[in-house]
Order: sequence, then structure tokens, then C-alpha cells
Amino acid sequence: MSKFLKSMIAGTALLALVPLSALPADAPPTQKPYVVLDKNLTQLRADFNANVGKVRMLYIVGPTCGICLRGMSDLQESVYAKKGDDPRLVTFVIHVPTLGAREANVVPASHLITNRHTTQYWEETGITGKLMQEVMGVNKYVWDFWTIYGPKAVWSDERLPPAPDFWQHQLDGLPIEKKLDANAFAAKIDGFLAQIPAAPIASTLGAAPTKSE
Amino acid sequence: MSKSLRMSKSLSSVVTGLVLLLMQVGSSSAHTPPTHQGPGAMNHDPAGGRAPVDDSYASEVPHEEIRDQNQATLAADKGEQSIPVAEEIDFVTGNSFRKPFEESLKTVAKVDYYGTRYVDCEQYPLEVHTARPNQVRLLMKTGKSFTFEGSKSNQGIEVRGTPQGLAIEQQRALFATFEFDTPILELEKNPHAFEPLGMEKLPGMLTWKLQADSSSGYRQVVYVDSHYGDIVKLSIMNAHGAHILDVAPHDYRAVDGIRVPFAIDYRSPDGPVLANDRFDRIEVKRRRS
Repeated sequence: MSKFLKSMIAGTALLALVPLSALPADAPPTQKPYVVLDKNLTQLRADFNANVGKVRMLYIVGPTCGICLRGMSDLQESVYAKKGDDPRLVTFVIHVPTLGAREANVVPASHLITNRHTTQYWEETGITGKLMQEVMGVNKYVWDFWTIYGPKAVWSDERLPPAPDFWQHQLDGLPIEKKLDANAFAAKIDGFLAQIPAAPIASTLGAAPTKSE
Repeated sequence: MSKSLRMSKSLSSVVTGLVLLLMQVGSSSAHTPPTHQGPGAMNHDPAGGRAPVDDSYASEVPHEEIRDQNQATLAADKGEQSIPVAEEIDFVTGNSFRKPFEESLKTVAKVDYYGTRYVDCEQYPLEVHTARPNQVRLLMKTGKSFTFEGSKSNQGIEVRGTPQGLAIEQQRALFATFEFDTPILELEKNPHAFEPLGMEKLPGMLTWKLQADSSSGYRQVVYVDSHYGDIVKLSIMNAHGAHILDVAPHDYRAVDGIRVPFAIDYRSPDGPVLANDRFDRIEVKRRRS
């Protein structure tokens, strides 16, 4: 018994010395810097509702569409570079497969917005644009679409996202006065932010304080 | 027996401790810190465990929004900063802000620039005369007489004297790659005039990235402002592929119906500023109709 235990100890101790890299490869792969959505947008809906009480931006983009990328870049300059990591602002960027985009295109495009409270999603069927089309009541697939939801917005429908409180676009066939203007968009965000008390300074230093955590 | 039991208990607690240690090691490896701190990234498996199967790819996107694009047609170079994009040339040439300026440029025969070249604390009066097709003549004074004159014409490139701020090879490369027309007009004439390389973020702006090979052996990568269509940066490589100069035109203004830069900065490939040109007067001369 003693010998058995000794050999167990020795064996276990040896195992403990084995470098992590030599362990069986059953550890999960490195986490992706974006979220893959199912067709029901389950995670997006959960994330949206987990952040009630904050100003939420939801963008539908094609990750290989230059004009969409320019929109992201403009908002980085007008919104995120100026407001920093304000925890009262939460952003959801949904990449859809327009213009032949694939999942591999999400990461290069996602670098255009650098903000701790932004989540990038890949939605492979493209149903996000169809659902938003239904919400907006327009006769056009909706993408290159930029929305703001105020702090009270809740995604209560099982299928459809709520109608945005403010939106802009870069599409042909939608009102020209609603074309994306990053400065006007940023001013609108300020208006919504005014409805929420400023966060204590300490909370801006910690990790993203979402309700779901 | 009792000793053996104590021993056994003691040993098993050691074993338990080691097993727990191993579990912790395993546990820590299973919780690799996420690279992303956004609101949705910490609380679920990002792969969702059930990514859509291939036949659902783009199944909800109307055909006209797919436009038969595939990965092979995406424009991109191998640069880490480049973002692959679809239909780059169409978007570059379709810039609606630029259209009236481009149309106006078609009837321009000459553009003359008057200003100053700044090199460190020195400054030199400068004149640059450009004309169709792709002719350029640069005159720079350092005192009472001209000390540098360079030109590109049908007869080739001629250089007399030493350019201030730039090396002779760099100044020659500038002459060799000079184009009177903008990339948009060049692409209108020849859709293959530039190879699309995707997009790249420069400070404050996202640019279209295009590459052109000059008949003189130089290669240039042109960065075009994705809003205004202005060239905001040129990287010039020599025939051996060596990166020899970066040029950054800026302070674009409308003059007589065309967009022209009132400032040009020159940098060596490793970053230091070599010279700055500032123009206080630009004259546009049109073709006689």
C-alpha cells in the first residue's frame, strides 16, 4: 500500500512538472475576439438586455465593404477616441456576409473600433439585416446601418430587435438626410448619455461592468 | 498498523494536494484570458458551440447584396495594417464628392505652385510647374541664384544641382512617378492602372490603398482618403523594391474647380521628416477650347 502510494505520489509529482504545453490538447482553443451568433441572435439579445440602463449602439456592417469600414473608422474618431471607455456606452457590431465576406474578415475589420465596451459579432446567415428590415418597415435589406438605443430600450420580442431610438445609414434608397454623419451621431449619443448619471471614476478603471457578469 | 494508517492518511493528503494542484493547473489553462473585454465576450462560449453549417452561409442575404463576390476577388496586400475589401476600384472611382473636381481637372492644362521648402531651420523659395502630360519642373533658390533645377519631360528626367532636404535619388523618384491626373482619372482611362490593395487606417482617416508600377521602374503605393478622394500619402519603392521615400500631401483646398494640396511633407522610410513644402499660391491654367 505504501509502495503504491509512493509510486502514485511520484507519478503525480512528475505529472505536475510536465509543462502545460505538453498536456493533452483538450483545452479549449484560444477565445476568438468576436462572438459567433446563431440564427436566433440569442447572444446578441442577451447582451443587449444585460445592458439595459446604458446607451447602446448597434451597427450592422459588411466586414469587406469599404464604405462600412469607413463608417466604423469615422465613429472611432468621433465617438470612441473622444469618449474613451465610458462604461455607460456599450456597442454591438454585427458583421454579416454581404459582398462575399467570410468569418475570416471579421478580425481585420474589427480593429477599426478600439473600445473596451464594444463586442464584435459574426452572423453567418445574414438574418440580422432581414430582421432589421422588418423592424424598420423598409423595402430593402438593411446593412451599413448605424443605430442608437436609449437606456430604457429592451429587446422583448423573441425574434425582432426593438426599433432604434436613432439611426443612420449609408445605403441607396433610404432617406438621404439620414446618411451617416459621425459628428451628428456622436452628438446624438451625448443627448442619450445626458439621461444617465456619469459613472464614478473608479468604475471606469475596472473591467467592463456589464449586468451579465 | 496505526502508523501505517497515519502514514497512509498523510500520503493520501499529499496525493490529494497534488491532484488539486493539477486540477488548478488544468483549470487555469482552460480559462485562457480573453483577448476581448466587451460586454458579451466574458459570459459565454464565443463559438456558440453551434456555428451555422455552410449551406446557411448568407442564406438570408439578397443576391444583389452578395454580387457574386468571393474571397479571391478581395483586394488586399500582405501588410498587417491592410484590411481586405470588395470592389475597391468601383468605390474609389465612384466617389461622389470628387466627381465635380475630377471633371474640372480634365480641362486643366497646367498647374503652377509657388511657395517655400523648409529643411530643418532653413527655407528656400520654391516653384513647381506641372503640365500635361505628366510634365513637371522644379526650381529652388538657396541664395541669389538657382541652386537646384529638376524636370521631367518627353526628353526624360534632368537634374542640375542638389535638392534641399531630399537626396538626388529621392528627387528623381518623385519626378519619375509624377502623374498630372489623379488616380480616379487614371482609373477611368485604364481600369488596370492601379492594383487595389485594400484599405488602411492612417492617423485620423481610413484610406484606399492602390499600387502602381511606373515604366521607369519605380513602384508607388498610393493612399487615397476614403471621403474626399485626395492622395494623402505616397510610398515610393525603387526598382530593387527598396522603400526610398514617403510623401504626404495635405491641406487640400479647391482652386479654380480642382483640389490641390497646399502642403507636402517628405519623410524617409524610417520616419524622420526630410523637408516640408508649403505653397502660398497655386495657379490653374485651362486648355484653350
